Amino acid sequence: MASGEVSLVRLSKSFGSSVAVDGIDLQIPGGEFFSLLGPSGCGKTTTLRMIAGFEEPTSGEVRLDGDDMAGTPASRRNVHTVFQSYALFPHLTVFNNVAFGLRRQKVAREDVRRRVDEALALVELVGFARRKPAQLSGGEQQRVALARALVLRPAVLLLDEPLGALDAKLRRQLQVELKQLQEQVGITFVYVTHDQEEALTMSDRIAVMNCGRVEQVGRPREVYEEPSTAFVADFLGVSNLMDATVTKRSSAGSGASVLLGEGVQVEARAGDTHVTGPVRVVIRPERVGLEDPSGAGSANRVPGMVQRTVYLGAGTQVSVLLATGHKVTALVQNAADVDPGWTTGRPVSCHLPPAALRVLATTPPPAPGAETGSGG
Amino acid sequence: MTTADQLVNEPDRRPRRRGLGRGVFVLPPLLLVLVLLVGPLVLIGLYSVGLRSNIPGTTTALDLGNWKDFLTSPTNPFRAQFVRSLMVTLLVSVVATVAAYPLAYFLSFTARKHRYTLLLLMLAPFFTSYLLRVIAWQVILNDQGVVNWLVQSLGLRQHDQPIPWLIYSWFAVGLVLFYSWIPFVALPIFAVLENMDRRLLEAAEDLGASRFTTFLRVTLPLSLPGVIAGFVFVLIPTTGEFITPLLVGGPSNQMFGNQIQSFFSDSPDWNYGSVLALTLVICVVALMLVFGRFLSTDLRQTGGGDRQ
Amino acid sequence: MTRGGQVGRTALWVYFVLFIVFLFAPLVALLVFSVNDSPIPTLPMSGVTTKWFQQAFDNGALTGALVRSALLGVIASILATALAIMASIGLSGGRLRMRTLAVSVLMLPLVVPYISLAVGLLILMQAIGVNTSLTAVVLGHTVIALPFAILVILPRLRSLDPLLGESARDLGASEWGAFRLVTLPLLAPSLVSSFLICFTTSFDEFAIASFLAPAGTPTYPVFLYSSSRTPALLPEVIAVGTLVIALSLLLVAAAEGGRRWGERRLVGRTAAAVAVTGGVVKPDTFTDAAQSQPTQERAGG
Repeated sequence: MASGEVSLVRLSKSFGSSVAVDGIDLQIPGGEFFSLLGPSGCGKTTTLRMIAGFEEPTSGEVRLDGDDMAGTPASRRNVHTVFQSYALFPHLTVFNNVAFGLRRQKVAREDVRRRVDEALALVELVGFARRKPAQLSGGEQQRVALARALVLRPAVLLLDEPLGALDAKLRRQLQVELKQLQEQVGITFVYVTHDQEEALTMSDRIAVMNCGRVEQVGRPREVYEEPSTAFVADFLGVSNLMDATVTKRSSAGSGASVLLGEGVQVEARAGDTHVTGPVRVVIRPERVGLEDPSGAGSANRVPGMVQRTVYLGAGTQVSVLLATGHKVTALVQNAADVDPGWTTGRPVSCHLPPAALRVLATTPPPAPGAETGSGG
Repeated sequence: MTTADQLVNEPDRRPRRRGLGRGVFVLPPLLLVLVLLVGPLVLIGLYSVGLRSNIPGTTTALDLGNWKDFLTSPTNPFRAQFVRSLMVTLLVSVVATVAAYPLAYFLSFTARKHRYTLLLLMLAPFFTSYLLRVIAWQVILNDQGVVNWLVQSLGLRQHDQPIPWLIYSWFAVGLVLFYSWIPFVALPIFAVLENMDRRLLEAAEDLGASRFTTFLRVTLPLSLPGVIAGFVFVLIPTTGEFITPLLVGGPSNQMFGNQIQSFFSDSPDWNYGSVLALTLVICVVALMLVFGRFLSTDLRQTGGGDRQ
Repeated sequence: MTRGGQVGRTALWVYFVLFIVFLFAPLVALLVFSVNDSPIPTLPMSGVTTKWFQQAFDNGALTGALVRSALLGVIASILATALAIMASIGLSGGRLRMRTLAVSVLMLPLVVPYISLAVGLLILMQAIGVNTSLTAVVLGHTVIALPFAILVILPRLRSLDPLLGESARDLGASEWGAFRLVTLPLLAPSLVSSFLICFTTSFDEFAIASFLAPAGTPTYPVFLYSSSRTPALLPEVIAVGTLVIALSLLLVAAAEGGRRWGERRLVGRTAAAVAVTGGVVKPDTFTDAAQSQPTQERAGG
């Protein structure tokens, strides 16, 4: 039985002179929930469409379970797609929508009925068979689209931002349900989204794409906490990207010495700590510690001033301007009974723990004068 | 309905495919039109310059004599009739457009709630047989017809003294043409009025304009594209009109279309007839080229969507 | 409302009502005279009778012409609609310049005066050795009906979600299967409109038919014209005319009613869905925006 393994080998697609997908290589093992994450126009949807067979690659291969899909039209590939707009046939009932693919395969009548009922039960839409798509809510329509694709028992299910048309609360609920569904059914899901939170929540692995290329592939935790490029760091949440210089590379027992600016030296233990010279350092907001300014000057503590606070409910986002000129955003949990009182204008000491401070050598900062340190 | 312009200029949402694609499907209909419309027009052209003839045995050679005669001969009766025809057409078009405006205005502004039903009511006769309606007018207008009976019963005229200019006259021709096209003219005006931003009118009134002034200075100018579209709507088909003059016009009320018809039914001179037929086509095409822009672009600029 | 405004409103109502009377007057006249017991359609009425209808239906030439025109109309409608579907598919892709050219050619019949086209077709028929033939009439009618059909079908086709076709193929349908099972059913309302418009255009067409229909087998308009010159036949002509008009009006009403019903069925209580789900279902997911105005489908005759 097909395991649903997807291989993309040097896959490229150009439309005229514009390159949408620029030679990507991906291996997706069977049964994995794999996300293609990136901003609009990064090529993730085009990649998905090439796997589905709606677009022919300009070069490179799409392989499903080892077989090269070149020349196989979409109607004959054992992959099916759930579109963002669901693309349910408005003139057919839910039952006939789900049965559509089965009928194309000339499945016997009784089997069609049985499998459609199974599929509807799987997506928890029992009793909806007679309804028309226009009578369903967005979430229900999405489930019909899922049932319609899953009833055919594809090796791989492709999902193109299926939750994009739904409101936030419904989306979160369906994210959980989709994940559970995938675990239950056990087939490969290739999921396209621009929402990093969604990708982090649901995926086994994520490929972060930008301008037609894959910048990093890894488990959610890896991609978030160990971004390999500035783009990935910035896309997956607040990154606090800072320009700095490594003055001494790391050695056994200690991390790299990084000059943040104006005589402020910190130690960084994560990332590319073996290079020297101009680099960028990254730290996640939740790892930044805010302390009383009396401690400034000791290890990895930089003096600064609170510029702005944003109350988020579960936490507070505090924007700090460091003495080095960098702007850093910290995320403080509202866990204590007493409000720590980080108000605008208050001096503060920023603790950047070495283990959380990550050096990125792959994207050195631009020439001085072009850009001031960014972050937050 | 959309205009030809809109048919073409809508963005193509489908991803482009290589190869023949679905473009090939347009070939059979295109072929039909080329063979059965462009072909005949070409043939008419050839006939008009003597390159073909319907009389077997005649030598065929390029001969612009018929064209010269029609266009330049000082007392050419056909050219005179062509001009007369155009005058009638123009007059009818102007009158129809002016008369249609209040109808469109009524539907869009006064009869707000039921406007679509009333519009349908106004259009309904248009869907019945054109010939029948002209015959009906013949019955109404002729000497023993409804109008004369009414006038005579009211004592305004004696029996055996029917109103002479009522039938087989320019009045009859004009009236029936006007009758036939009015609903059609009202449509584009209605469409433009419908799409007009009512807040502009509110703003005018808010700034102190009376209802009449608002109409004159805001509504009317903004609806002009629709008015022109309606005018063109009636102008272009009416130039080739021949059924109405045939049925309710007298011998001296025949229009250019009738002339063409008689050349091809009664006389053997298809060459000369072709000159006339081609002239009509060129005239209409020229009108389209000049006025055609008003049919699509301006309607879109006022935010008006559909014509017709 | 101001006094002036009120006067204006009343004036417009009066104007409109008078116009409606004017527009329906000939139809009413035909109705009255169709039952008038007098060989000359004149007033005052001599009595009410249905004998003209009887006579009309006994008139083989008249009923023959009616049936002939109906048949030609059906054939021309089917041909024009089918070709319009092909044209619409062909015009949904391809390069812009080719499309502009194709559309210009396809819309030509709207511009060319029918009398000129008729004589042109006459010349064409003579050139290929056929003089008069009903086939030529049908083909001529197909050509003039084609643009109307395209103007009705193409926007509808364009408004369909392109992903529906892709989805059908994703689920295993062939190109033809996707067209047959998804596109065609969704086009249905516009196909009905196309049929009606094409039929009306053909049924009522006089110029081409007068030149190309063989003498013994006239179409209904040609027959009408020649009988209108024979006073004796006039009452029968009026009687049948009344029926034809009544039928046309009924068809218009049915078409409008049917179109609204068809849309409701296709869309399935969208408004309710939107309300119930608190706006989660987007109203334009399934509604064809181009169909929302009834003026859309009125075409010239």
